[in-house]
Amino acid sequence: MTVSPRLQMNLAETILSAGDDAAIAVFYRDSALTYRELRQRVARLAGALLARGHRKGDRIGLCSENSPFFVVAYLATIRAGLVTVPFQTDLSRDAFEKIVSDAGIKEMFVSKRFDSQLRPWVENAGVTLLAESLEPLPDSGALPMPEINPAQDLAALMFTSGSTGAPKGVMVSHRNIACNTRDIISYMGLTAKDRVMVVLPFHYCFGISLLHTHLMAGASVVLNNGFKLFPEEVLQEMQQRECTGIAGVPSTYQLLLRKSRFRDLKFPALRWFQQAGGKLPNPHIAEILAAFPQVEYFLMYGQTEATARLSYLPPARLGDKLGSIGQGLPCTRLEVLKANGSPVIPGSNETGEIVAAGDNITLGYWNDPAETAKFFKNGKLHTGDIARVDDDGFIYIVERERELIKSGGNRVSAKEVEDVIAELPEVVEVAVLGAPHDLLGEAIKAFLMVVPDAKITPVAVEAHCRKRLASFKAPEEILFLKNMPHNGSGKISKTKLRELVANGTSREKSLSPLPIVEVEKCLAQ
Amino acid sequence: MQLKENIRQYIAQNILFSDDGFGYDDDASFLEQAIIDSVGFMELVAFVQKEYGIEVKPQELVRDNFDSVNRIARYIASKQSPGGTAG
Repeated sequence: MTVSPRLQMNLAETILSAGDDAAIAVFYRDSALTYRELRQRVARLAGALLARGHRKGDRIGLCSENSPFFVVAYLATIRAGLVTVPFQTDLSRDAFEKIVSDAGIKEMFVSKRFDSQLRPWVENAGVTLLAESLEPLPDSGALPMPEINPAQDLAALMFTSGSTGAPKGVMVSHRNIACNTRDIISYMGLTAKDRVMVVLPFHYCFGISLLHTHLMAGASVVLNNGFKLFPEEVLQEMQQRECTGIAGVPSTYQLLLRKSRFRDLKFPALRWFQQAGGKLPNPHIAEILAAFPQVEYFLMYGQTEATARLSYLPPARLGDKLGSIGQGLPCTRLEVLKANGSPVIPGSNETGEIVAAGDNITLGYWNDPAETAKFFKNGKLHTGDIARVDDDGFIYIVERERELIKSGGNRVSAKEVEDVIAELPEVVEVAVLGAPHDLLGEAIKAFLMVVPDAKITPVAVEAHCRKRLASFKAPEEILFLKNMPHNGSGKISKTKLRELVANGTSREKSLSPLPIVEVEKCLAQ
Repeated sequence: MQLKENIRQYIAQNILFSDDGFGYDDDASFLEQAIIDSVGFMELVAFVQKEYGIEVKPQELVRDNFDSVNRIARYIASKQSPGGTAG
């Protein structure tokens, strides 16, 4: 097999090779970083890391909000043949120390914003803190960069946010990222003219994929970390910078639709939306399409274990294939396999697990052969997601395996109930899960956040569910939350909601919402 | 200054549920220091509107106007001055 010479390169070198010297790679607040400056800073910092005695494969931590510092530290680590370990910025001290120890981190980049919080943690763990103010570190001058074997050598350890379990470090190779990035650039048709508004954190695989794809296309990223409180400011910057795209998880779009002027503003340069990280309810997608008929909507599916992306639904097929995750990327083969290992029959009601193969399938979990053996078999990733396939080969996720609720002898899809509740215009976010129940096995509980001053009541939500769903699928309890708990990637944290239920705050009586403050306190614990 | 004290007090009592006052600098960023979440933020905006009789326009909901006690105080003062605008 012939391998393209570019595939043999260091990933950071590949990513940085496309942009014109004078073109802007990164917009951040009032600053603009050109490709020329970015290449220089990355080369200098990579040399400095090697001069500090690091050897190929050493893990270097990185805790920073999205910023030019993050971009430089991330790419310099990879350029030096080292392994970058981006940290979620809101980890507990225990989780932080566990990752430092698991990954064997000896040095760690920390941005100014997190310096005072992390310094005692970092020093207590015997780790050297590389502060933002130290960049550029003194360069070695002429230390040669290590040779890279792209298929074997790791570029990053990505700790998954653990929305369904404890964080695990996914081993991502240079080739994994190069391959996945090329596929995304190709189906999105990204060029040097593109400019993405980035509101997703770079420690999350979807967020960092925006950096990979745009730099490799010679395009620009616009970083704005204010989305949580100031979506309006993000919209203004999108207009001002003439962004061609924005990427988000479901809650990003729900916030835009329900709590900003998104639909009323004009974005003449806007060409596409990217949405992944869970399912945005169909009614919300329809609202976006109606408000922005000229903008292409890319609905996508992926996992950290697959670098970032596994499939996408071409915008032209949203009309006839809404609800589908589309088909595998050019370099990713997706199969839907029954328990006996044979593929489901397309067009039938058979369901099976989505299994993926291709150069974007990562090398497994760091220091965890048992978990690796469970999900990575013969180089194929077993996603745990259950799906069916239609006559045209489009894949429909029926349920994430862990989210099937077994209630009273019935199997109920949390997603189906969430979709129905999301039809109500007052609903901003909804999460449905099964809570342990003496008689039913699991009871269906729905957690909702509604728009401010909404008149809707739990009884009205229940009535809607009963109208639209079989009675055994209607939630046994409906709780209104003042705020929905999210994990570090911005997705709803069902783990925290389960803790809420487990802590006994849930009432026996159906449909009686907790006092909001009580729920809030519980979430904070 | 009474205006800042009112803002600090509102946040401490109604958003942070704190018995020990606001506990941050007047320049502390609500966003970067994760002092308040998006729901608390909307309550704060509603408080500013009601308490000071100000109509906050959506385009004014930006960091310059609302991301610290000092910034809010400045914003309110500029809106209250004759012909004042902000953001």
